[in-house]
Amino acid sequence: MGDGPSNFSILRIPLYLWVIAWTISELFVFFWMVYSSFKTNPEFLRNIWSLPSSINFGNYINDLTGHTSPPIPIGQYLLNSAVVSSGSIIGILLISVPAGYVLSKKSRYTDLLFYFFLAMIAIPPPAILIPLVYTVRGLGLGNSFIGIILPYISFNVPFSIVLSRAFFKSFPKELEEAARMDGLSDMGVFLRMVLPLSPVIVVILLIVNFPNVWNELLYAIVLLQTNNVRTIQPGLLLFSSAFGSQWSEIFAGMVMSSLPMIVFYIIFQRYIVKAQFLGALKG
Amino acid sequence: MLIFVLYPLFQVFSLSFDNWSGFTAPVYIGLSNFAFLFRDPVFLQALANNFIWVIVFLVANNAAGLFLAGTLDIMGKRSARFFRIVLYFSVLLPSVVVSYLFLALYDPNIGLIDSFLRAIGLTALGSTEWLGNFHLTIYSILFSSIWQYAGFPMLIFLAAFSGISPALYEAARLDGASEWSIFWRIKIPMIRPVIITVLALTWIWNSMPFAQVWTMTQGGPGHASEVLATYVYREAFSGFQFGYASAISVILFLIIFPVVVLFVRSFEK
Repeated sequence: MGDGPSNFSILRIPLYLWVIAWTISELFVFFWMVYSSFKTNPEFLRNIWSLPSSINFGNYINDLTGHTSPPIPIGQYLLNSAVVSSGSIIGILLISVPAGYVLSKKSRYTDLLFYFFLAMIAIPPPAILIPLVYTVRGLGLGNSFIGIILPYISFNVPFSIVLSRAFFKSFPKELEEAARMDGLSDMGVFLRMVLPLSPVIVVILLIVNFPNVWNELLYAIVLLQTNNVRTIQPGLLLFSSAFGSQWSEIFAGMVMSSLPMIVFYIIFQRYIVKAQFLGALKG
Repeated sequence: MLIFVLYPLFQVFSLSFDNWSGFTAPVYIGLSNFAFLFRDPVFLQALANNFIWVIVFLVANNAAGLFLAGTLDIMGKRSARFFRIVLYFSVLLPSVVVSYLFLALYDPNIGLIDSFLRAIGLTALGSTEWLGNFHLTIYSILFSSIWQYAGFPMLIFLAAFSGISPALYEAARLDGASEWSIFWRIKIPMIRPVIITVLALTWIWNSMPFAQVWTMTQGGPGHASEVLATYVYREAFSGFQFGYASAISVILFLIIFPVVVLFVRSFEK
């Protein structure tokens, strides 16, 4: 904003210093995590500040091949997380994009349904842990990908619908009316006109949901207890229950479990403001 | 979604009146679970910690976000962009990862914080067990979480500030208002609806911590950092007290319920 010298406030100095200090702490923690992952464990324990004496990928290789002690196949967990996340995201998109479109049309029923989904946002997943786990196991879906994908979809669909409704509400009505004049059915309008113009909402929903799903811990711990399905977050925790923590291998695992988020941030950074703002303001 | 959210919600209420170990059929025991809850010191500790968490997190996280955003808003565009990108970054990291990082930072022997305190001569402070101390532990975990998530309110408040017409500031400046009073008298009132929504969202998303507490302390030492979600998990899946754990879940649900009203209201316009 315009900063005429006459309005320059002395208060800026502590505020700027505070922002800079916070920023340095973020950068430092990030670089510390990355360079520590190249150290050997004795090196790490001797001094956790120091830079690695040489770049060694040993921790990564051990993690990826499961040659840690005890064996923790981080590579496998990453793949499992990729399957669970993509399955959940696809499910969330398939439900909430059409649902948001329908709910953006005004009628008594759509308003009622909208408030229903709004209220669902406030049902906290930890509060329904026990019966949900028993429902999933009762359906024979314990320790399976689908058994965690379905709850993840259910947790994230309500907020996604609210977002997608807000998005379609801001959609120009004239376009749709023109399409109807040309004789397209409601379904035709959605498939041929609205959907192709809406990669933005797909990106927004991806931004909001991918971190939720990738980073989830509680349900993953309870529902995924075998190595062939366990995701990366509970996988990383196995290190802490192992005796004599292998910090350097943990750090390599942490970098790998953050990597998708980092890549994701680099790609979508420009859209994140838009996505989060739509959620918080427009509703 | 009905199967995976609403049905379990009803179940959790009905189970909370049962005695159930998971192996035999649940037995109805009325309100005994709840009566026992309020005589259970661990539950009371978890409840108190959870209240501390909600209140401190809501206030500190959003205040930090507000001041970060307020400061970025009066900076040059390019530097504000740089700071915004860096400050939001940790929001996306898995909380397990951030918790491990802080676990290492807080370690009294090899940890960065204590060795730094020792290095600058504060040897007495330099042996503080940030996570091992009964009184400090929950605040240490809270701090790591606020550090991680302050970028979220910052991002949204910043976007809201940039939507305010600069003409308003010009008028205020002509009247001799300082930057400080522009912040309090114009910017904050202008984005009030956004602040309410962000409060509701941070309440919903951050009032039942699990990953941070579980990764750093598992509720320890003793039960000093126990929160409701870790206690539910412990009672249900190591103690096999499903009825009792359901009663705790009901309390968990009640903590978040008031926000529904706030939230639905903020969308009514």
